[in-house]
Amino acid sequence: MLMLDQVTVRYGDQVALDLQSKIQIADGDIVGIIGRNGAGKSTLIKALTDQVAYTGQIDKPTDIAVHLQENHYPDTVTCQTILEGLLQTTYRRDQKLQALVAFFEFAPLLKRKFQQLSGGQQQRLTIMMVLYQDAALTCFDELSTGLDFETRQQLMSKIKAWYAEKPATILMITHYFDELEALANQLLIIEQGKMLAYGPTTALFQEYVGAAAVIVAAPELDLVLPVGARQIAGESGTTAIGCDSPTTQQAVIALLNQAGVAFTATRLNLTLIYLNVLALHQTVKAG
Amino acid sequence: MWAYIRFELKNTLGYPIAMIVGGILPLVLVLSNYHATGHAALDQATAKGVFVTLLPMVPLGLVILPFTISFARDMTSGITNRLVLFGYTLTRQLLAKFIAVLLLVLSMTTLYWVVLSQMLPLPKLSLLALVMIYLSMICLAGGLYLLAFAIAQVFEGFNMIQGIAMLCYFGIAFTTGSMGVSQVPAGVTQLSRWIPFKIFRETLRAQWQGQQLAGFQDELLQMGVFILITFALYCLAKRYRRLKKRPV
Repeated sequence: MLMLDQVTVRYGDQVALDLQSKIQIADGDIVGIIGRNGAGKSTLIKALTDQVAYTGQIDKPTDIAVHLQENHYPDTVTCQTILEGLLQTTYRRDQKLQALVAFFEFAPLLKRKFQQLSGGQQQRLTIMMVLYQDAALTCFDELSTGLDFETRQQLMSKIKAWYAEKPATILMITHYFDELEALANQLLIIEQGKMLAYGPTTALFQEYVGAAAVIVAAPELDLVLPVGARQIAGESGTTAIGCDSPTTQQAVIALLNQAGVAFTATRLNLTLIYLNVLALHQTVKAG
Repeated sequence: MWAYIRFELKNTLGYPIAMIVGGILPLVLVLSNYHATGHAALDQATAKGVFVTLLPMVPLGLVILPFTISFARDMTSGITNRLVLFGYTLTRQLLAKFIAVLLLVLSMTTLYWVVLSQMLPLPKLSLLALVMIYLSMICLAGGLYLLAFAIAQVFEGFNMIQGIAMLCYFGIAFTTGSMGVSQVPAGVTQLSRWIPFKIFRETLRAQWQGQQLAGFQDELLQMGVFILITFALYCLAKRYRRLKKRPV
């Protein structure tokens, strides 16, 4: 189990992270960490891995595997040498490594140097080494940033398939919420170094959005919503409607069908959770 | 750990500058500085002279330039930190890098000795003198390694560190008489006396066929002092880095 209690990280006068509360992450949880750039997400990983000094308490497993935003290796050696050297093994004799290399379709790239790999291939190299460690806690910090859509999808489906049968605790920082929807069961939202919300994704959806929601592809909606439905914060250019029950959602859908408006119905949407947590936070802040 | 040392060995070998400056250059300098006169005793003395003069250039060339530059590059691009997160503490990284560079120094020393024994009219070395050559190379490599680490820790930025490393390399080479005799300020000469190239040369020349350990006593003592001084610099540099990087 991972426990963070009142963890604070300062860089000079600047407070980069100030969680002000206790976070407990159970074994096997996959936690998505979201927030704006500079919110303190990476600082949290750095505190966990002792890359920065912090105050407060962190109880963590001894073995932690980390995938950083940027991972560099010497350009003087091949990828196989990097894998063997850092994992302390020999590729020819290591079936686990061979399986990982095959799984990530990396065998043709083993003799290449790191700089000769594309962005997605570079990420795969680090991911293989991170997964190989089978650590009690694994942290992924924006592993798909800068990758094209197809590469990102392939990478995420590989990771999802790899962890399908494994009881792993994972912290995953990303700006791509669809990645978390496929993987995470818990969500931690950080803003300006502070924790705004933490809990199971389904519970947060229930708390901040409703039992269900409908997203209309129009910035404004000239309809009277049924009882139990309310307009909530949504993405720009859309109108989001939170519903207190699936029955209300059905009523909203019927209304929208009648009006001939295009929409999407959802019962779990991390973007809606995030936007409504932020909206509530700003309302509270504004007094 | 061996797999990681192998990784560091391949990494060091990947810097051609190391092999050129530490491996080929001393050999080329010896061969270009030796001129046969036809007088056997004089030729033998000249051969011994150039052999002992340029031998310390092997650890100097293999350690100061490539290690400092590669380590600075690793630090700047986050490789050092990446390896820490794979469980290789800075101390483990430095130890593996040192073993890798030491293996290279010992290999190049062997090559230097074997090649020059064939090409120059060198008298046969006593076993003790040969052992002392290797021991001295280990001491010099160790001291220079600590010095290189101190440079990489104190100075910021790849270009700055590369510049300082080159300054150190040529500075040590010139002030210790490895690349000719230069007129340098008295203070620099005093400073360069702490780098035990001179005593190594004088001792080896005098004890070429020596059988008594006592003949190497002063040299060993100065090698020990050199390592102590560079170790102190290493500790200060490490502390300086920690204080500078420590978040408040």
